[in-house]
Amino acid sequence: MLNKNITFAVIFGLMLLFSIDVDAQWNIPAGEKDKKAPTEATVDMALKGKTLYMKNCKACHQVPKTTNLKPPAPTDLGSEEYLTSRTEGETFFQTFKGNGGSMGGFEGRLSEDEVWDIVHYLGTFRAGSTIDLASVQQDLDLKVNLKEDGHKIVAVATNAGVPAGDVKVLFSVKRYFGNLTLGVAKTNANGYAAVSFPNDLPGDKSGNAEIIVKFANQDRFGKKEVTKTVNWATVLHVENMTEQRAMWGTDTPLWLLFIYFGITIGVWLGIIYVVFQILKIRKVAN
Amino acid sequence: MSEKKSLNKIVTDLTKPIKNHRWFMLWILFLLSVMGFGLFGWITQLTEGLGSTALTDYISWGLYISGFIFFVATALIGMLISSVLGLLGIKWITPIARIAELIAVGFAMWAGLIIVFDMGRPERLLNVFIHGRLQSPITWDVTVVMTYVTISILLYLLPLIPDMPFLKKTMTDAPKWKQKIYSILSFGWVGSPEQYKIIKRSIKVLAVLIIPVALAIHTVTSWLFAMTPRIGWDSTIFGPYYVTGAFVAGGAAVMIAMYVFSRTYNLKEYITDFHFDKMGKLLVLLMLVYLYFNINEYIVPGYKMKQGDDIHILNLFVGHNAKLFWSVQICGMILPLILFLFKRMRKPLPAMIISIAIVIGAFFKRYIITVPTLEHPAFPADNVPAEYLIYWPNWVEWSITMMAIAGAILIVTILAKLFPIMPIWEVAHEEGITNEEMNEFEV
Repeated sequence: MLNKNITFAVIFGLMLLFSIDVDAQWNIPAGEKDKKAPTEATVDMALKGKTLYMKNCKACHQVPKTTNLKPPAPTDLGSEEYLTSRTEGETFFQTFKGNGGSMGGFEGRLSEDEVWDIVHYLGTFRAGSTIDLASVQQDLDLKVNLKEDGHKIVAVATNAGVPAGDVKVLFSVKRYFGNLTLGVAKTNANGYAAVSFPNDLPGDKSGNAEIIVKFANQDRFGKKEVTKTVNWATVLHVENMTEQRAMWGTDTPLWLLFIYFGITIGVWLGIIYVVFQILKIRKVAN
Repeated sequence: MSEKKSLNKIVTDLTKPIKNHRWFMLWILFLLSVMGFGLFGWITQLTEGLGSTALTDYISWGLYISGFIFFVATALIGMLISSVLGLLGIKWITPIARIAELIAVGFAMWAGLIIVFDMGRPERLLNVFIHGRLQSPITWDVTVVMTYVTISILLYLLPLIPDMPFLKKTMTDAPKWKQKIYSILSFGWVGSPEQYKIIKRSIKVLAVLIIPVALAIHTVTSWLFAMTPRIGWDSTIFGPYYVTGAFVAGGAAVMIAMYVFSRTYNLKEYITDFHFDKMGKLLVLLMLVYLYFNINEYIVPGYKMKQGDDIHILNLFVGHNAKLFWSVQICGMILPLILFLFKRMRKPLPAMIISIAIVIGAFFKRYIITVPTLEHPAFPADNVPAEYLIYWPNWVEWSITMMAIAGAILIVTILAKLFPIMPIWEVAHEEGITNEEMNEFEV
């Protein structure tokens, strides 16, 4: 562990030195500057971009508009100064390709669409932007009812007691490695959305499975998540490898049992025969 | 083997050494003091745990298990001489068959005990019987060791029975307990034709029975290693490789015992140069077969140098175990093999000295088989102290192993003091003395 930390510190130190040394000039090819996003920004794109930003950019650039770092600290990407001096195309290029120095490119880690989502998110901080993320974000309540009849999972979305319609709900079931999507359903005017539990899905040894219900667009409707255990899955039959008669098990394979006792008993019968013969010597003395 | 010996002479010659106690007590005292030191070592090990030995997590089979294979190996000679050669009707083994059987009994019994010494919690041996899985070679080994000891004891005991009347008649001034033993072990022997029939048939049954059991005991011992996929042990010829090696070790041990008994018991007339010559030739044959298996065991993987194997093979050939490896191969096998080709070297004294080299070589050969493989753990050895990966036994293991060797010799010594070292009746038969003459024997 200690070694790892030292290696880390050395690499980090080198990176720091390197970054100061080559805080390269931004060489943005001419064509890139005027590049436009493939589509108009939507609320959902900006919301997605926000999530991506928090995951990938925040560590250096902080939450937009909240920082007052001095150069050479990374730029506040939500600042008026930044947004007015760059076009969408420039921001895209800077994010996607980086400058080969302190700002690494995200090409290969994020798709072009994802980077555009980030650009759209930053666009919401521009003066005159029509998208107001604060007003569209909601924190809905989520309830789940199970209907034995037809094995239906019913989700109810409400906003402060009022049914929330037109909200996509993601239904999934927990597996060994990750979750398996059962379906996505939109809530109706009453806030209801439902999917059926398949009748051929394997569960555990007693037929239990854990279902997970959450909003498909968590950026917009909140991160509520409901998990419930249902007994609708098929019973899983897993043979316990150590319970069978096998070389690796606790019960001896029959062929081995037969050979072992066959040989051992055979040999000991010979020994017992000889012992009886010895005892017979006295009897036949005359 | 010149002129015929009289029954009276045979009985006198063979019973005299067991009446004469000169040097005997001193020898016993020596063996007991060696064992006493070993006992001290064992008590140290029991109180302080296996940590007091040089054994580690990685090298957990050190001198003890090497010693165990050596003991089992040496014990195997009883089967070859008294059973295989006996059934083949080879006559010259008559005076040495009992010596071979004595070595078999003594060493097989202590082989079982060495396993106990290798355990930090010996009382857990019971768990083998309570929870033992038949899938494990350890269970097979425990079974076969017990069976072999039993058959060896019977095979030692059976030819003793017709000797008992001679002992009763000649050992009149022996202590009462001794007389009692002779009386019990005679099982009412009077020498009737019916009794001879029984004894000969029983010996034959055991002689046949012991061949597969003896092969099994050493094959299973080899399987304790070969049933694992570890480098150096993962070999298909380990069974026969061990068995032939065992015959070499046991044959040499018999040669030493022959020399010691023929000299101290004054039996040069019975164990003659002829017998040493024959044993020498037998050892040449055995060592040739053993050499052949050695070539297969080391040259074949050495030629291929498979990844993983190469570390092990190079370690033995040129690495830190090379000195020991080449010493045992050359001094314990190749040189003795060449020397025994010369008639002069098959005379008693040189034969005995060469045999000592073979036995010492055989002991360390087992060490070479056991330890170097363990010095290369099969799993990644991270953050392990360097000294954990190199093994050399400390005084605890040495003293306990010495106790085992002294203990086996003690059994041989005591039995050779209680009973004649050769079967009187069989020697008499060889000299053309009839059963009737023997039955009528009086001092």
